[in-house]
Amino acid sequence: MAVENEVNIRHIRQDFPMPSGKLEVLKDINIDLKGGEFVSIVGESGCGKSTLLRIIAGLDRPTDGEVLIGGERVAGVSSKVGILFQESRLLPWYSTERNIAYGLPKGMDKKEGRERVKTLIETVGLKGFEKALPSQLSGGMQKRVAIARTLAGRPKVLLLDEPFAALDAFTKMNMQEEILRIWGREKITTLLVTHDIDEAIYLGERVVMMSPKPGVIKRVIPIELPEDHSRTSDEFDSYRREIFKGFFGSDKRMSEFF
Amino acid sequence: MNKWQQMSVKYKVLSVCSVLLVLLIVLYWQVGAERGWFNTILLSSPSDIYKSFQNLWGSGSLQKHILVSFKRVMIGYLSGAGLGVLVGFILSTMHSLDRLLSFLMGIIRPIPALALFPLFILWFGIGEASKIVVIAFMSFWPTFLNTEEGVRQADKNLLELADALQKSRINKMFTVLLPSTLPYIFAGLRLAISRAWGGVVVAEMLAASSGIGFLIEYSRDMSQTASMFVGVITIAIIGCAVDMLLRFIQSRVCYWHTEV
Repeated sequence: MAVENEVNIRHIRQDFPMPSGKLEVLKDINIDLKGGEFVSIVGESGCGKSTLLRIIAGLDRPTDGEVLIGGERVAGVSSKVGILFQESRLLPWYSTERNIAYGLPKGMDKKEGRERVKTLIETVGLKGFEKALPSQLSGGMQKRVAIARTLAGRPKVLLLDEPFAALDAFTKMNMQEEILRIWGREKITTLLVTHDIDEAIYLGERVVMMSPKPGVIKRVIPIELPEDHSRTSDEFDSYRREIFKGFFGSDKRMSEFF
Repeated sequence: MNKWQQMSVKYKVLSVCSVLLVLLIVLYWQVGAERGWFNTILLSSPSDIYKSFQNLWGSGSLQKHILVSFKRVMIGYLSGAGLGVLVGFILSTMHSLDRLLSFLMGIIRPIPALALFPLFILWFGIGEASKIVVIAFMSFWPTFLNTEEGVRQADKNLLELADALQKSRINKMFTVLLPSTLPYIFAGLRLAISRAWGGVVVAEMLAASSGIGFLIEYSRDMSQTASMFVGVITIAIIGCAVDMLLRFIQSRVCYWHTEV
């Protein structure tokens, strides 16, 4: 019997039809996520990492292969999966409260729903902004609303599609802390897609390196960081160097950044 | 904040100036008429127009004309514009139906409503119905086209979000499509109301025994230039007031839309 928040990605292939024939976006992708695991996928744009995420979310169908969540085959969007997009995608006409409530499961008891929204507002630190419209919030706060909305559905699996790419460096670090805190508490199986190597190392228990044309998995690197996840530790640096080498080989010019 | 306040002051000054500008024109007009700068048989002086207004208002006939025109506009406008929103919504969400009707819509749309007016009179009689139909026809297109465009412009990302959250079609319609289309609908409504006013006046000039259009046309027959101006100014004021009302409603309904 499969664990309900376990994810198995099996032989996923995705072709896009092109005028000049088909484009292989993903080729035989296999990843298994244990229940409650945090895995980062890192790769340059065009390596198909976002496509993979969309397939897991049930938004796109693969050409071949299957995704199992808790042993069940993904055949479309489901409430088991919560996705956080790169854009916050808040409804501009809804307040913080209502945007978060938008993520509540269908047919949920009204009072219970209100309680959950209240708790989530506290969780993401937006107390006092319940009635604010998205246009009155900063980019980081908007992101927090989006996170709370995703959590409102109590997903078993959380998919993060370059969620912090559009934020400034400081807000980004804050949000990464936040995600780590939430993940640590709720133990949701989480799959992060990013092109930020530091982010991948900082958040993931494993880093999956992908390369493009066609999108394949290059390497999987287990990450073991000291308790405080310090970004300046030697371990962090050595992972960074390892991944960097994995992508760019011994290209001198590139390596000089480190 | 300071910059905003400065801009606000500038904005206020300009608003006052825009009213002053109109007053200045009226003043020049009055002085010019008194000094014989222009022919007052063709261009009545503001004071003559005011006198004519007092007469028409005092006898109650102006109110009667306004009421008659207003009623025609409102019935025609509300049904035409309402239908425009509804059909716009239906066609833009049902793509096959939209394709099917596209040519039909394409050939009906360019027909000037007033070219159809004689036919409407033939079909619906010379009474209220033909006028209301022509106004409804005129009000339909701007709202229809704007609604369709609004639905088309709805944020695909938000629609996908609604899909990811497993919202039903109906739910998606009310939580995403309708609100994002509202600013477009209002743009259509504002275009339609000015067209409807234009339509009613022309229809009344052609075939009516009451209404503002009739008043203008009748005054021309009687060579009462001042009364013609009363009719024209009445339309201007009502048109302006209705547009302000619509803008006010829009700012309330589309509260998240700051640049109304």
